[in-house]
Amino acid sequence: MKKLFLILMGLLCLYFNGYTQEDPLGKQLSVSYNQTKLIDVLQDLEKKTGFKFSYSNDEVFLEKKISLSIEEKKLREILDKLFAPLQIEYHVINNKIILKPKTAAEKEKTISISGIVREKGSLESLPGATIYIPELKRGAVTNNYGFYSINLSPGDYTLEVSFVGYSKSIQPISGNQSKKMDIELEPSAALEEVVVNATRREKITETAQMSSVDIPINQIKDAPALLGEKDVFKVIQLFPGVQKGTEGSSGFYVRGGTPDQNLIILDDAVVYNANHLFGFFSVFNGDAIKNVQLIKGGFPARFGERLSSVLVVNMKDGNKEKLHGEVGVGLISSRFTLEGPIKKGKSSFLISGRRTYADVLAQPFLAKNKKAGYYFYDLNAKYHTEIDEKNRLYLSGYFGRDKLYFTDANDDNTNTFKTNLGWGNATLTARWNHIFNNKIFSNTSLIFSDYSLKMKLSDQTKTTNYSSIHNSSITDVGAKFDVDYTLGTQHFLRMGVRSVMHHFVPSALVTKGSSDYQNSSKSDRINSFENNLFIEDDWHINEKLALNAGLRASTYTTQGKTYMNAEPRISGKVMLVPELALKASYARMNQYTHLLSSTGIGLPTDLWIPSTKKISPQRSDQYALGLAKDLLDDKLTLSVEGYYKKMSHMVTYKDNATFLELDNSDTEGNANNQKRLDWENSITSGNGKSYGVEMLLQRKTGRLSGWIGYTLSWAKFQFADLNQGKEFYPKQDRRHDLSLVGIYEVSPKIKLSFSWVYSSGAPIILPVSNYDFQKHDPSAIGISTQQIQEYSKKNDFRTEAYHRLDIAAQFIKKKKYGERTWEIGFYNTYNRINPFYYDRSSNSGPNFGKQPQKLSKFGFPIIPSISYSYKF
Amino acid sequence: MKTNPSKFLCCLVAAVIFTSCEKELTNMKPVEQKIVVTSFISPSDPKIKVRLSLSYPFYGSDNTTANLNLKYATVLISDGNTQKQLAWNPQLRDFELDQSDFPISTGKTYALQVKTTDGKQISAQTSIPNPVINPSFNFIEFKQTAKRTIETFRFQFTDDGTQINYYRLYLNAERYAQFQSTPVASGSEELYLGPDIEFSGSLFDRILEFNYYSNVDPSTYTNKYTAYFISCSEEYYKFHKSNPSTDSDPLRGNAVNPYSNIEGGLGIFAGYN
Repeated sequence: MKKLFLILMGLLCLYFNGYTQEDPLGKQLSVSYNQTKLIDVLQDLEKKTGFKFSYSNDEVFLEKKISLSIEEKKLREILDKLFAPLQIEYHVINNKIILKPKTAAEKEKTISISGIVREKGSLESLPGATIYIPELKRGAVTNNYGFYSINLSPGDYTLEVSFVGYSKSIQPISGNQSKKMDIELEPSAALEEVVVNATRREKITETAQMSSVDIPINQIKDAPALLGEKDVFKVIQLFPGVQKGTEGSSGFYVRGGTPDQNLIILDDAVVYNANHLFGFFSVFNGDAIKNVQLIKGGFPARFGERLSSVLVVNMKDGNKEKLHGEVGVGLISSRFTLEGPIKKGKSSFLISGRRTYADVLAQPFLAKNKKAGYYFYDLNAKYHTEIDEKNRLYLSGYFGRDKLYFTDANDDNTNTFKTNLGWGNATLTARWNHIFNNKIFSNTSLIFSDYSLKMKLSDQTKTTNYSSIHNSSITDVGAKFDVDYTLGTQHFLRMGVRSVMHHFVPSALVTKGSSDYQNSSKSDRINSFENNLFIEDDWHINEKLALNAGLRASTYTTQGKTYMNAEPRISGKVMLVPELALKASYARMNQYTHLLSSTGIGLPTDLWIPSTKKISPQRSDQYALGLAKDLLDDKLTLSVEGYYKKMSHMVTYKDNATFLELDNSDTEGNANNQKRLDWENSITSGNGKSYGVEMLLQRKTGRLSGWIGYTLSWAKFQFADLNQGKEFYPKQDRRHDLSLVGIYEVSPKIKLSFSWVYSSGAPIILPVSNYDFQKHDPSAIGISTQQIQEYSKKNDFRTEAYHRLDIAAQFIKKKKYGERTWEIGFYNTYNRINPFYYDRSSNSGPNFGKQPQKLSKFGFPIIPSISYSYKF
Repeated sequence: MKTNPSKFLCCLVAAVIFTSCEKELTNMKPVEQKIVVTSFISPSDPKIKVRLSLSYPFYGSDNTTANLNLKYATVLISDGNTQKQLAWNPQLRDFELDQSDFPISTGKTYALQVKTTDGKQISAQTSIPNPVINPSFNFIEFKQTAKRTIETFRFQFTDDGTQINYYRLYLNAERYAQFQSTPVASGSEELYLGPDIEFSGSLFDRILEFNYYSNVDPSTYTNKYTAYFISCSEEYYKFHKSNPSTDSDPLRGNAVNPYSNIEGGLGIFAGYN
């Protein structure tokens, strides 16, 4: 047996030895050319190999500059890599290599390489991974479902697949046939950066897209956070072009826009109110999220519906290989996540939940006849299955609620007063991916989204009772169909349609009582239909030029009126020199749904309203120009962008209107005491403009990662019914904004992180004096006088500058069944009292209001936090 | 005495937390004290009356609210041709002028000027609109539920339709108990009609309900209703439609000043008819 094996091995060696001797291009050599003319390359190869190249000067462009570096490869491989991009074919006759340009038919012949990029170990698809062909200096990006497709001329190439936080995969591809190549990337520890080229160095210069930020989920989980609660929005606020709202709030303002101008999408479903705890936390549970992308400008045509930004949040699909979980305990909430295979390698589930417990802890300290508390919870769930190679199904949902309650009763229970404020989102998405062939990928989604606010109040005695329910909601039911089509070698087309029915209840009030007059019902319900159609082309014109051009058309039908709009989009890049690109973009956006906010701090009392006959859709035109540069062997990316955005038909409350006064109208009731609320008269519309410059220096991988972001910006609004029609600065107008974020992995057991932010003061309006206000009393019984406040011009004051340092340390330890992490953090480490709100106070007594008063600012002090999590 | 360092540390942290939440701002610039005017003029009033007061700035030193004696102010009214000075009335603490000395007429524009002894100066202007045409006021019905009384009235008038007109309909109610000459209760309902109402140029017809909580036997009292049809100047209308802000509602985001047409001051100088 041993002899037989030796004989076989000997024959095999002889075979391969003989083969190499027979291959005239089998000689191994190394070459290195940098911007070298083709004629010089050919002469060098002639010297190194002894071959002579034969060609016609008319057919081969000898002045073409070549950059190629290959170590110890066969001459055949070197020639393949050299000539494939030049569309030249070669034949060997004796010691001559004859060069000819490819025929038109050969040039047109393309092969498609397509597949899914996944995470090794969990088979989680990886949206946004880069597929790069160095020989052609072009590539593609995986779509939202991890699918990629790239068309090539037949030949030998290298396929480099990379993604932030994963080791790069390098796969040779050769041949004349289209093929499916699913690729698995291995998560890389940050400490592996010492192995050069092992991790992804994302090139900002590769794509025409600008004004976009991909936030690695690890950085969201590692960055310091208020009370240790990891929050996507708080991290987004640290990027240039994004302004925070009030202290601690999750609300964000992008490039001078308002919070309702941000489209927040969770697995294709719109999330209308993404805040918990009056804006202090966002609804996104970091444990259930796969990736986050924020687009601030240069919007591709596939996105619309809002003026200022698109925030795409995708939930994890669930681990298809093994059961995996995570539990965490923090100061205000606890959370859990469980994911695993249902059928190994084919289908998976994920379930993740979170709940606060301040209400439970406070209960023992309250009197028996009093109950008060607040809590929120949310639940994410997802099911994913691969039906076969071409079909995949996803079912995902989110459900979250906030509840604030108060009950007060007499000792003898003769009078009970109850209030209850509840609000929350629910989303449900069913998606079906179908791969028609290597070039065509489609997704069909059915989407449900709901946001509702309910405020209940009841007052009950032994003989009487009164209750009221105030309700406001928006419900979407819709469907969308998108197709990705790889056309030729230079075009990547996306097209799609979307149709949504919005059901608005801007305000509804039902009152019931023991007396007749207390029974009433007022509501306004509006159904609107929104349809969109888009086509978009990612066009790789040549090595230096790339373009993303598209058109989005939309219709919106409401109350018998139909608005139709076309939205052209274009963004492009020109490589000025290697690793430096000039980018420019233009985007028109229309927005048909609007948020009325009394305070702008993300309270649940903010109401969603539709465009109507009276209320036109909001519109923006945004222009951006910038430079993008990859630095230090692509470890760092630098972008500098300027933008100008013009907004029209923005909507806000008229002066002094509140959500509770939307029924304060002259409308007349019908026979059933049913009244239509005249909320349209409580609002006003206006225009705005914003402009500025943003700079972002970012490092996404490595032991030390983070970013420095700086924004210099202006925003100005003008409403006919506000500030006497004069222009004013909105509250998000902060001149300078600087963020420094750093995450340092000291060792596999210790991670340190910090963030420091500085913002110029925000404009606010302040009362400046008291005076007597008298209306005319025609009955002359007596002039009614009241003392009122004189306010400054709208937002004429500026708050003090805002700055804050947060720090955190994570201590990680491998345990028998998993890994535990203790995190200790300090919010506002140096205890700077940043203005949360201002309050005025004066001495009481006969001269109340007629003496100088004290203006105080209230803010958060240093807030320490500790949390524990365990992963298995 | 042995000091427990952990207790000391806890006390220090607690002190930092509880003392650092509030910080007084000391760099607020004082705001100038302003003259506040209240004056509504009409051909139907026997006197022109102007009431002056001062605003009280919130920030700054006590000196910013020094008592300025407004009775020495010079108050002038002019119709473009004639100018007259109003005299101080110490009883009513306002400035007055008889219409026999300076009549207010429909269609004319009037200017008001006030100068104080310390150099403060304000000015304002208003016009007198046409009177309401053919006003009529009728009682429609009376409804009594268990605890509620609803009385309905009809207001009718004619709008000439030639220009933007502003109106205020005002219903005043007084309740008299049996054998008593002074009202035991009073109330009012009002309605403002402005450019957002489409006047047809002919009869304007509007129902106004007087709706109040009452469990008193209706036979024990009498109600007296007085209706006012006021044709307003634009200044009058805007001033009354603008609601002043108060501190009481934190949900009000757009705190604003009521309308004022006083150049250099606050308040209102408005004509009506």
